[in-house]
Amino acid sequence: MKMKLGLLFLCLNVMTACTQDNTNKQNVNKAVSESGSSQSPLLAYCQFPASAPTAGANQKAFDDYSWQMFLSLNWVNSQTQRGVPDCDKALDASGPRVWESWKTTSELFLPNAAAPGDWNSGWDGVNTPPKLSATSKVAKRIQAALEAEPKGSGILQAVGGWLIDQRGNPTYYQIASNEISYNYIVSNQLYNADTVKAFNPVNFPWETAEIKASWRILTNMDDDTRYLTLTALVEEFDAQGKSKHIFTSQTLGLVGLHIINKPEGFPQWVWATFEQVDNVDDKEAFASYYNASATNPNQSPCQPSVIPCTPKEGASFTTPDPLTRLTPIAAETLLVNQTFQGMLTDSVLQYYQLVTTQRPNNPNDPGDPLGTPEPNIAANVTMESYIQESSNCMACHQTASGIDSLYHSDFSFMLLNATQP
Amino acid sequence: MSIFNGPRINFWGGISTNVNVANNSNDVPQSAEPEDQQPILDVASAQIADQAASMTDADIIALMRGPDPQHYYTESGWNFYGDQQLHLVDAQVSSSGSPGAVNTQGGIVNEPIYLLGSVDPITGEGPHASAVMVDLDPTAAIVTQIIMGGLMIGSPDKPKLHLVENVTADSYGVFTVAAKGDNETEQGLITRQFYRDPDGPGSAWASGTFQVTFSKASIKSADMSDPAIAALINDVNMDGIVLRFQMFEMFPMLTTDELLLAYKNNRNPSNPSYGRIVGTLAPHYPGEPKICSIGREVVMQETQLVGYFDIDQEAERLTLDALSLYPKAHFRDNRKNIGANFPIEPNVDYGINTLTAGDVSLTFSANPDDYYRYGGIIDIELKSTSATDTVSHSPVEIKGEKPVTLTAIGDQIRIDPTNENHVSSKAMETAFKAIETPVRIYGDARNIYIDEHDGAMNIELNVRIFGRPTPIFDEPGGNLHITLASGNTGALADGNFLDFPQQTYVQQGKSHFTFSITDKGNIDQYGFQTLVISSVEGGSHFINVRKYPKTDFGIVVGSSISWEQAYNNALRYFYVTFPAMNMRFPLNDEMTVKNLSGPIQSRISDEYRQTSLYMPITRSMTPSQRALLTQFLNNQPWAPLTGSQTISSADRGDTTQPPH
Repeated sequence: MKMKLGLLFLCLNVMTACTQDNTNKQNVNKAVSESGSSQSPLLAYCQFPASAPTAGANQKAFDDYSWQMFLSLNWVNSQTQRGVPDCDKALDASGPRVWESWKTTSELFLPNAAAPGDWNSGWDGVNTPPKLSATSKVAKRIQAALEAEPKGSGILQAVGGWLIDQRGNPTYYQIASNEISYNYIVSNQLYNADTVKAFNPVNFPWETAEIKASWRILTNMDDDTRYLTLTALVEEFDAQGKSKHIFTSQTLGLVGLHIINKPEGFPQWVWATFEQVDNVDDKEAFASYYNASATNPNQSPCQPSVIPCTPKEGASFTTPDPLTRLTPIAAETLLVNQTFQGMLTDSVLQYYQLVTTQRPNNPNDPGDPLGTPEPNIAANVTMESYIQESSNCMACHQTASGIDSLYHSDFSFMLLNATQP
Repeated sequence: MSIFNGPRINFWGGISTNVNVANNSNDVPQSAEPEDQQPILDVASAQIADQAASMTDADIIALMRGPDPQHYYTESGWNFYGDQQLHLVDAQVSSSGSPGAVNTQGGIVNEPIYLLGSVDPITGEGPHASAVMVDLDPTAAIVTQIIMGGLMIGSPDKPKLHLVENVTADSYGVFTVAAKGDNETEQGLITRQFYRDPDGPGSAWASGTFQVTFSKASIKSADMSDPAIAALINDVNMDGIVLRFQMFEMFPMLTTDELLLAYKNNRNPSNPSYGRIVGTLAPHYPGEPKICSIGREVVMQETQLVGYFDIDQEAERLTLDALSLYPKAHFRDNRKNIGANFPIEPNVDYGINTLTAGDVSLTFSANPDDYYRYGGIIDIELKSTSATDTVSHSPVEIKGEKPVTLTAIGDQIRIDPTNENHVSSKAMETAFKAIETPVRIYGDARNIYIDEHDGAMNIELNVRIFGRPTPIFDEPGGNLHITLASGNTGALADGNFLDFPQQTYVQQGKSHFTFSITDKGNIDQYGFQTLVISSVEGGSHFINVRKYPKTDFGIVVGSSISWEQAYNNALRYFYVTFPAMNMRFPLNDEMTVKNLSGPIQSRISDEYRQTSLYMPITRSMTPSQRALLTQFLNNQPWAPLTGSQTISSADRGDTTQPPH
């Protein structure tokens, strides 16, 4: 979950105008979609977990917690207000997921630092999903470096450039805040870059949460019943990765989801990351990002020392970037995955797996402000593709600050999106 | 006399230090035959060695993480992913009070205690990071230091005592360096344990004693309702607060097998050493050294462990700081058991101790079972004015009542204290005898970056002869003659960049002397140098000095600095040796480095130099590298520092692969 300042914020801005696949018909859970049956054992996971495990608890405890977050955030959302699961409906009932109702960076950080309104503004529950702006919010700090960049393409990772799947299509990214995060930013006018510059201390309230999602285009050759899907207008790029300023409607499949949460007692936040199971791990069937014949996987597609990112010699924007998982999912996490996937045999969510949960082992020690992250490495292959071996969420996010701000921004890079009035 | 006769707050618990060790040597084992070795790094100049110029970054990193043909990484001490952070682990106040009246209950006893990182010197934020351990000698063979930003006792929301100040605790009791002969010295870690678990690094059986002094102005808040804190703060003579502690049994959490498996699976854990800490807070009085004890010195003959004592004439009391004097037999049973929930195992019990001085003979207990509750400090009543006077003027010797035969536990092996590499039989007989060092040379000069002093500085050291100013010696002029010589520099070659007097003297009746050290100014002489200061009557002190090289990197003056030039000359060494930095941001990514231009330039600036926030934490980046990086980030034409060594482009081509 390595997100770095300038580049990171590009990842925050998916330059697509997305529309939710309202029917979501491919993913309707046949068994649990009839209603929010009180008999469903899954109902216990409808609400976001009230608290995190005790500091110092083992990996399994935090992995259980991560799955609880994942299930509650993937519950179908209320039609009347954002961020609220409709527990009367089944997990996989038709409609946006809870996290999909959260305010995206495009909805929060409007041009000219305009106030984004209250939490439920723009929400009709079904047909008006968050529209992700295609407008660049490139920070002036990095504007010069990115002059020729396909601005706000929403395809660049924090480090290393874009990621092309084995079908030759780019991976798209999206970031959103929950209500607590949103209200903190709005009430303090932290959508305004001038405010951010002088604001200190940034201290998000307990239970603040953010997500970062990665999506790939599903083609006719893909089994879309194995993905949480989204119909979106996605930006097209030429062979050199420059925007054509053309948007086309595509069905996207969710391939990665970071969930970062600041539960009470964890000032360094808790960091969970999930992936779709077909990304790289299944060596027998088609894998979205794995190529058995690739001799040198996990390499950035960009030419060294060329800004903006330009395909290496002999490659183009459609050349797949083969990946492997450098750090295997821990055995204890695999067991937790098996447990939850076994409960989800009728849900599309059975095709997702927790990669790891990073958390501070020592969260409230003033002599150890970083809190001793555990485990040391946490990487989602779709989001930290080229820096897997050094990806440490907490260490990276500890450096977060706003644009031109000297102050820490409480482990969140969100404020890099603030705009000038 | 602070720790000896002032009010004390003692503490104990655990400590973690996460020092990266990849720069502990220029060489990384590549074959089972040492003669096949080729240098990979040039740690003195923070560069990749010329012999490794053709290796890619990935090659070097793979070498650092790979199977080790010479078992350099074994014994679990390797810590490639360390981030230098240091913090206390479940440490708490164990006792407080005045000499002879120290209480182990009530007041602030059992309150937590923390060492803190630095507050940001520009914004006042934080601390957002821990205190850090920094080896002035990059190979850590000679010296280390701890840079911290404060100390806190009590809960963070309502501290009992909160000190905020950037200070550096120097390792005055980790290594010994002593004159051995003509221009020769010997060095060694101070041994604390007689037996060691073989699955540990060489430093695991050593102990390290550190001292630092916070100024009176550092007191941010103090709960004066607590008697111990009030006594400390209200001490009319106090001009600062001394923090003295010892860390020992420093042992990595991962076994060798665990570490190698984790690397194999790319889990890339840091492998910090966790150990015991025992310490004391006490007032600092005017005229006392800040980083070491003022007391008279006794040395245990078998181990070279050191204790200090002083005498309160009025109270007729001798106070012995025995924290570093008495050895332990074994490590803790479980390497993970540290902190206040796991009381420290007893020291070796030599029975009743007898202190003799002149015709005075006194007995006392070394309190082996719970010495740590009292900071390792023992108050001994002298009982009479005459005894006090005699001990004040006579050499002191301390002997244990009985020898003790020690046996190993499990796979632990015996360490011969006279030879740290020697392993002998599992049973040994040991006896306690400590005798006073006649001449003690000491002072606040220990670890010096000569570039911070414009290449020259005056050094003042103290001298005591059995605790008193120098008497008349049977030497020319009746003075105490002092010799100065370059000492052993451990794994690095002697930088030999200093000019200093070969000898000086201490006038009779005086208790200090001064001399100057000066950078010779030769551009090809830099690195690390140890200076050993000895008297012909015995006693010695050593000073460690680091000098950075100045170079133009072979870049044409006035030319535009390319990313390859900036990376290869200023960042590459840190990218391959300090992966913990890359977890903050990837040093080999041009875009990221440019995006972080402001924060990077801040963190390598002088404003942060004395803080725990300075980057790189190791302080290994040379001024020339800082200049190159700064000018690159500001799109300025290359202007090397004045007096830089000129390297022809033929000597230093861009032979490395460009970073992505």
